[in-house]
Amino acid sequence: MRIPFASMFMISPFDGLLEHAEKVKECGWAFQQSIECHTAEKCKAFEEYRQEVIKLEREADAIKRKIRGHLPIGTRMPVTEFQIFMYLKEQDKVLDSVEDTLHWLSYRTDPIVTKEIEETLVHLVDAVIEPMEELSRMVAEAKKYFESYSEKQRTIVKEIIHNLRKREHEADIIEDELKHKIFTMEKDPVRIFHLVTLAETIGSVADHAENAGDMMRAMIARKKRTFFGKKTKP
Amino acid sequence: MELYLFSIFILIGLAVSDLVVGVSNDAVNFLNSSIGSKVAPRHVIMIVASLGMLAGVTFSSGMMEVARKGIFHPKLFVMPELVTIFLAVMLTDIILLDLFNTFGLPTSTTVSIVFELLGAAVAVSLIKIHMAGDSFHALVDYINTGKALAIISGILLSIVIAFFSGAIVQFIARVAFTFDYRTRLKRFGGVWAGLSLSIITYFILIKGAKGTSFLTPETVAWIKTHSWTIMSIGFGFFGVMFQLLAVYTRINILKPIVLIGTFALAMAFAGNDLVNFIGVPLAGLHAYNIASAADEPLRVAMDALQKPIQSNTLLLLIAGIIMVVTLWLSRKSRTVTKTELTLGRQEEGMERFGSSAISRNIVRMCHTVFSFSNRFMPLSLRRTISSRLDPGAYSCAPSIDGKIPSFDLLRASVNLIVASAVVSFATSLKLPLSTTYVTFMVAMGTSLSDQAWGRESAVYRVTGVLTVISGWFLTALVAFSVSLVFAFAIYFFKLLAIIGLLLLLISLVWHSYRLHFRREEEDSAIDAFALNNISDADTAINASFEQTGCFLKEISDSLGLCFDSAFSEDRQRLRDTTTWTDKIQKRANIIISNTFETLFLLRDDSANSPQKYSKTMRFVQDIAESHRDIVKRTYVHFENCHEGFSDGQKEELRRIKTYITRLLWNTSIMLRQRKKVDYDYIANQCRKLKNLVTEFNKNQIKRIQDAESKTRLSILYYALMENSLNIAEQTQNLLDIFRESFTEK
Repeated sequence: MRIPFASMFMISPFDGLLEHAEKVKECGWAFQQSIECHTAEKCKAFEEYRQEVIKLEREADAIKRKIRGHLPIGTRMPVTEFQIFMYLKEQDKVLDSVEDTLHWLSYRTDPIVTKEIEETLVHLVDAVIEPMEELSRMVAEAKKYFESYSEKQRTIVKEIIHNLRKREHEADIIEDELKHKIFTMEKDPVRIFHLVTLAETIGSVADHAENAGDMMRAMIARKKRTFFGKKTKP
Repeated sequence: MELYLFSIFILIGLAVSDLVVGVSNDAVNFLNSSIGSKVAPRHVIMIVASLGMLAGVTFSSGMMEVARKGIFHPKLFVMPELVTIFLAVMLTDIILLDLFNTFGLPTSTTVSIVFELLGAAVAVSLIKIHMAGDSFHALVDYINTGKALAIISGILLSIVIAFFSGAIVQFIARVAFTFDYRTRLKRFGGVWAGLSLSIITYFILIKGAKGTSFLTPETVAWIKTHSWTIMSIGFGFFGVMFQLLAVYTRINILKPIVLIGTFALAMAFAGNDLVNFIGVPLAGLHAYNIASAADEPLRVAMDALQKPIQSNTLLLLIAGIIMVVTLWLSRKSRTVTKTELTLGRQEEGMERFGSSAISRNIVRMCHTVFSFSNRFMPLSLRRTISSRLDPGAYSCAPSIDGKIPSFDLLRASVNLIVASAVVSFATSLKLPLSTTYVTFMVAMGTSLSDQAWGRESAVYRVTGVLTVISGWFLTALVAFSVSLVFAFAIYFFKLLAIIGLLLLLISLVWHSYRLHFRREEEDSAIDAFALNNISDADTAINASFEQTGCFLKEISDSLGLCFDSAFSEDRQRLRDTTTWTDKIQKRANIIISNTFETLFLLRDDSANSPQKYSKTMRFVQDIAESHRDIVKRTYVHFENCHEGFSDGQKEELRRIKTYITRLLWNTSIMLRQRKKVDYDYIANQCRKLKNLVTEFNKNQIKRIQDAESKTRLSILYYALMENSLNIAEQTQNLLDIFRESFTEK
């Protein structure tokens, strides 16, 4: 229930979520840099970027723990603590996927031979970065929504979630395209296994971002009242 | 009666709040000179002011006439009506003063309380007249019109007198002592000190001690009739003492003058303005006590309020302690003081106020008048005066905290002397005036004489002064009308209105707190941007990196918001982005001025250095201008209700937005965190953006050929794309220069 003036005296958990989302965004760029570096010939900085991603992931973990440990008893919005934790978990999985991708990539140091596969891979990374960037905007706008409860603000958040789904779908298409190319162009089964898993892990980044968007959609859903005045689940 | 008892409790609570907001606004009156001249460390100044306030409160007899009978005739009202008036007054006063504090505008607590009393009294009188079936001409019987008019005219007159007195005295003092006053102070310091302290002492006696319990009415009368004797003795005594101090010691005699002046003004403020904060609640309590003792408490006339009463000393002391605590802790008080200091500052710098047509015309007019009058002045006299008023000789030494004071001690002492003299003179003539208006106008007059308002800053300073003065008129207007409305509401809706207005008050105070907090954060961010207090080249370079990083991040966020708002045709958000753009432009200007500062600190003679800085300046300017062009064009387009983007255009622009914001953010991170510059990544992003722009250009041409996109929309589309590309290229160039600096360092 929205209590007038109550928001004056409560701390929003969205500040922490936003901080975490900003880290996700930053991590996304480091991830893109590392992939571009890996595909470029003679790039020796890949390990530096991987370490940078690990560092950012650790920082994001610290933020996650802070949110979990310091969530106010009375949150300022009609969502449960459970929903916040679920959202955070999903947002954090984005980072885990990024880290996993780089780990996986580091297991084989030899370059990706086919130029075409390389280009599609870069394209896929570019596609999954966008949903990662959108997360911070979504949290910032959701924070504004829970401060004002304006329908206009809610629409903005919904549009971002819609955009997230669209981006995830685009990433899926590129992922499929990449897998297709791998199976048609590569002959070495180990290489195929490595590249397909790589494509799937990269694709999971966008999946988790989309899942985070779905969690947010549940949070901003209007709670409809039944005839007897009891709230229905969103 | 329970409702009125409840109201009295609320009045007491409101008195505490009013003390807080009142002191926050009035503190500038006695702190301006000492803080502006940095006469001593801040805590010393605060201790002196606190002692002055406590002395003023303790020695004050707390005459509360204005609240009880100054504005209306209490014998014509009953207790419930008076409680209605007082509640309306207090609620309005807190809202009004808090609003002024939030925006850092000094105003008069006397004027606000007078007009609030007037507004509420008029409301209740009108209801009484209407109920009695009398003519509305009977209103003059209820209101003390003569006194009210005297207060208003006295206040208006004091504004003009204070400004010109400040300007003339400062002119004379500066011609006598010049900006390099230290050597001349050794010769004529005694005369100046004698004059200053005799006036300040007289001020303490006439203003601070007139209502004290330890001075009998006979003594007060004697002081009033022997003004010249007191002043002459004071002049002789202080003159000799300070001349000896100036000659035989290394004490800067202006320092004790400024501190004593601060003490005197603080004492006078506490003694006299206390009535503005607790006078009304105390009058309410008094009215309730009188009514409780009567047989018919709700119908007894309040004649007893006409008689003078002595306030409880303990109560006054508690009020004094609250005032002192507020003085030390209030952040809004600092904001108000900062406004006055910025307007009177000797040096150039970031101006708080902008330019307006009125201020530009005033400055032009003054310039013409001075140029014209100069023709009639003999050349030799003009040269002599010019040489003595040359601010170029001004080299104000940094204070203990290493910062340059806003003005020197001579001006600080003139501010205090003239303000004390004007207030004392008006009081001796029984003319009501506002201490705030007098001290502010004196400070502005002295800064005008000191040529602090040079051609580089005059327009902005005049705008500031005009804003403050219009705020004073607004105070009267708002105080009267809001109090009138509140009184009507409380009279008719009783408890419901009281609770509703209290909730409104809490909500407004909370929102103003948040607004002030935000403004403070913005101000401190801008202050942090300026390199005024950095004297080391390496620190300056580091700060420049960080500032440019912050600047690029803001551009990125603002562009993101602008593009998204354009897609959803959200005019409100576009308006917000336009406001934001002005702030970003301000930051760009600071970065550019900091570039000069860094160049000065580096004293680098290498051939490519100046070129590097001129390039940096150009790139920053280009980024800021392209960004502004995007925002303003988009805003104007949708404000004029032109057609929005098609889905295809939206998708293309979204991709452009993604690349440009990503590029800006990344560069920002590199600069802010001093990370290794991944130039290739940025160059890659820039190249991708270029390719996209080329590709989308073709699509747009096709759309134009197919008549899918109207002319205005196409212009906007191209503006967004080309400006984004320009921002990307200039960011890359900027990064190039910083990369060189990284490798050099």
